[in-house]
Amino acid sequence: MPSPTEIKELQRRLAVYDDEAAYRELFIAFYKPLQQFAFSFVKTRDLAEEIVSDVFMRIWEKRGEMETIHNLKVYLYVSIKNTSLKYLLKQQRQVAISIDELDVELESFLRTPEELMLTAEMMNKIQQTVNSLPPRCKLIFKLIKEDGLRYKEVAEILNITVKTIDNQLAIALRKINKAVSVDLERVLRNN
Amino acid sequence: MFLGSLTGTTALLRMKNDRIWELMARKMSGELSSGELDELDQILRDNPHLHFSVQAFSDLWRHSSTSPISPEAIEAYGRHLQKMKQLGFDITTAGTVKDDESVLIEGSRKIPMKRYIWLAAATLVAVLAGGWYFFSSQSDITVIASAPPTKEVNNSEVSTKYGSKTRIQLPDGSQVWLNAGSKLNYTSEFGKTIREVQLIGEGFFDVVKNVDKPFIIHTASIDIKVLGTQFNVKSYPGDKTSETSLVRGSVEVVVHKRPDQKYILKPNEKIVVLNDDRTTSSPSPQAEVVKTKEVKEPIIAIKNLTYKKGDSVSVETAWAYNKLSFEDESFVEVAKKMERWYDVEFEFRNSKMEDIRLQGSFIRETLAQAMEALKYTNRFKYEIDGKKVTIY
Repeated sequence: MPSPTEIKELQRRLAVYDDEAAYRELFIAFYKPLQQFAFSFVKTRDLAEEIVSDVFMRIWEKRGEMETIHNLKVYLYVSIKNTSLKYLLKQQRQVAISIDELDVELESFLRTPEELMLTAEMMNKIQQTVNSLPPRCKLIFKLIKEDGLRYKEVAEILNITVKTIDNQLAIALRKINKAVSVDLERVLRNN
Repeated sequence: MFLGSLTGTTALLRMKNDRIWELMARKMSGELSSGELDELDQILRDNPHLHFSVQAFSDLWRHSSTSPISPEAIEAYGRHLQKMKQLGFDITTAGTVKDDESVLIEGSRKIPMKRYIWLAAATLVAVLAGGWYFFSSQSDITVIASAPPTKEVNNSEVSTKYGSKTRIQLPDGSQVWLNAGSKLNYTSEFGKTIREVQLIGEGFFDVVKNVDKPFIIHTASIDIKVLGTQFNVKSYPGDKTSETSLVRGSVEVVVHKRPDQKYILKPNEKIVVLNDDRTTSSPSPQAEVVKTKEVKEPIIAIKNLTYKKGDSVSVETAWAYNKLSFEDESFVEVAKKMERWYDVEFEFRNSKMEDIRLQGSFIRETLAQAMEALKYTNRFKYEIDGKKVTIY
């Protein structure tokens, strides 16, 4: 993901020059995390993609005002959240949704286990543990670890306190630690 | 013994532990204040048994922070632009008159979302060619980029060894994903009047549109000309065929041995050219032509891309999505793919096995796991010894 300074520069190019290349760069950089975020609400891939597309369409329409957006990253996530909720309402699937019902998708973090000191088996275990975290915990874990958002940004996007983030991440890490330790214990016993 | 203290936590330890994880999470996410850093250091000094977990977390975090630009996002951007065009926003009008995408748009105006995703997915192109003759130096994932303002033409070369892949951004902004055991060359003249690259091996291209400067990919047996689109080119020396597969837009393919004919590919199509065994080391295109006179005509076929059930990415382009995929291919062909993917060598002691047909799809399986899975559906024996796989 581009750095905050890079994002600012892209915003400027978009606002001042209608720069399509800058627009493209923003879209591509944010597509995956935003699509996954939308998916956690609407639960279908097609719809999640459509929501990202809608949000970016509005970005293009409002490109002239881009420089007035203080934190574009937060702005994008919040827009995705709001648009997703609107879709759900329109489909009358739900009048309100709580974070505890979200269906969070995670990137697999097993890209190259051989580079790590963790064995593939342990990584598998970690992945399972993360996948079975409660939705709220999993979502916060994903936004912080995978999307690289700051605590303050996540707090703003999800309307929660930084303290909640601390608590939820502690839960996630404690569970992962437990899974890894049990596994290590078994390995040591077998030797 | 030291692990026992982890599993048998008292309530007090649990509370203290939570503080550890809170601080760890903050540390990994770069949110730790200096006071908290001291606190964490102290806790870790008091609890050396946590060292392994700490290491595990930093591995986990470090690893996930690098999310490379995915072909998926690029394809989604293509669909996004089409949607915008349909709604009357044409944001790419500058410098483009009529491009390859217009073909798709005419037909897709009334197509609902689902179909449209399918069409876009069909735009990935795979090109497979024989081998390259132009450059000879060898290196592992090295980029020799040098373009000082001198008159001489400098070469840039990017290559990957077996078992690794890389992504390159060309001077015009086009992106190339280079599969294992491949090489891409271009000169400092790239983009001045024409955009030309040479490829040995396999690459997935996302070409930035520029009607004035066509993008041409040369391989040992075919050349591919595009204006701006996404496609995959596969052209490994020693492979029986060369392929170009198109996902989106259109490309023009010229087969060296039939220079007068142009093959235009439509989305979701690939062209397969049977290679002449001796293409690998021909010194020049001229020599190539002369030589082919004594050889039989190449066989050229246009086929549809192969999709596995329920998969939106074709078998031909799956590698760019970090997936090793094959569908009804002979074991010999599969072995070639696996040799590049895992950086190993296959030997068939039982020639009957060479022709059995295999299908499979692997994402993060190890070589041993992949072999076990293949063995499960096809009866053969194998042995893995270091980098050597023997099939009995």
